[in-house]
Amino acid sequence: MSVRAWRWTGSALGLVLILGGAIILGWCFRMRHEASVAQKRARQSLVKPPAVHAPTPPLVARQPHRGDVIAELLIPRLRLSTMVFEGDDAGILKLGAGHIPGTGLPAAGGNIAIAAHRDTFFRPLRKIRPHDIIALKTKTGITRFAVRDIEIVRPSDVQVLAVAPGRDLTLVTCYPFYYIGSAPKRFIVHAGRIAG
Amino acid sequence: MSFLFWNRTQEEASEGEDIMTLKLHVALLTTGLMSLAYLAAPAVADEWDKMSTFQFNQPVEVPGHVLMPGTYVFKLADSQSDRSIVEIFHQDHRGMDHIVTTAMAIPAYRVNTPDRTILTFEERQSNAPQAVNRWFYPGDNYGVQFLYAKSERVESASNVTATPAPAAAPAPVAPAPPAAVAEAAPQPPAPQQPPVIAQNEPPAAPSVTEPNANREVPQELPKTASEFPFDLTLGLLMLSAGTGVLALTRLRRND
Repeated sequence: MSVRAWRWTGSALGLVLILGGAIILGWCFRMRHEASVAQKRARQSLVKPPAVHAPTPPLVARQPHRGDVIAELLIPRLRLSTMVFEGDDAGILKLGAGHIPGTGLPAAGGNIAIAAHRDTFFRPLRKIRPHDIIALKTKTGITRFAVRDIEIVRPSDVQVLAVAPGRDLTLVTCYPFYYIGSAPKRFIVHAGRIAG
Repeated sequence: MSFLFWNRTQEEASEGEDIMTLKLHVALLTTGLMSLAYLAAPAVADEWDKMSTFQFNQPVEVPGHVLMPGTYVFKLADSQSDRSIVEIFHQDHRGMDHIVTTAMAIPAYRVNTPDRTILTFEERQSNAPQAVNRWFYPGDNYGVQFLYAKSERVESASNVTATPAPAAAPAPVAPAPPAAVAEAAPQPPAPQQPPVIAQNEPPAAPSVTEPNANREVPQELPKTASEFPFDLTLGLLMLSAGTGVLALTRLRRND
């Protein structure tokens, strides 16, 4: 191959790599931007005052639909704050934390299970400790929980979502936190409701 | 001289024609823009009041009322401060709208931007009409959610809610297609799958029923590892490798 051909190939390869890298980085920033917009809008929808003021009869609690805003999850010590949407599929988890369908709801009680990506919204969760305070902010108010225990389970161990005494909130994310690809385990945080 | 005069006259005439043509173009452009503005005006109004027409082929419930089969127009009340007041009109066979009710609602949000009007229903007992739950306008993530009082729900279940008949003879209802833009929120003791009862008018595209929330506990814990860090690393690596290769090529060229 002549020198000119080498130079041409080198330039073309360099440009292709730069272009490819720029496209991938652009895609990453777009994902982050979409998530940021969804979080902002969800937060706004949560603070919007309801149009009906002081309804006399109690309102009927409804099952949420995929993508509905459930609550804002806050862990003050870890400075973690993320919006929780209904659903736990990839599309939802890209935008925020997801409420696992079929588990408890803030308004209805039970074991509320919330999942999120270990490398985005639930990244600070690796530093969580027992007795940490977790708050769920909904349209109706703030519910507080205290971390009871932490466990590492297999993805098939769905009994962690079951209702049990002292288990009012369960956070789910992948484990190990530093792992390339689909992690083999799940990091589970159990919390119980506390007064105040 | 005569040649010059003739030539000048021809130039003047040509100039005059150009001015005429320009004026014609300006007039046509202005007319076109005005027509466009006129045509766009109703669309803007629709955007503001989110007017949507629905055809029901069986009774449905809205807060405080049961709508009999027919064509109904839902739109937001013209209020700057509160965008959650919904006015519901019945459209008679002459296409005239008569207000049926004004319902209070709360803002609702969905992550996926709807590409068409979405009306969701809440299932009730088999002998009670389905209740309209949420309404989303195309291209808007924010919609409204209707609120029902517990007592109202009990009443509707026993069919004692006031049932205002349509103001005129009900418009001929086209048979609903097998699927429509409607999603039903399942209740645990769902007795049977109710038929789909609402559709946009006119039916624009083959409609898709939204996936319902799965109320069963999943068989496996959700996958919570995103590809974001991998993509970010790959992008940065490619960018630096590309820059390196280009720099190397330039260096060789200089040699």
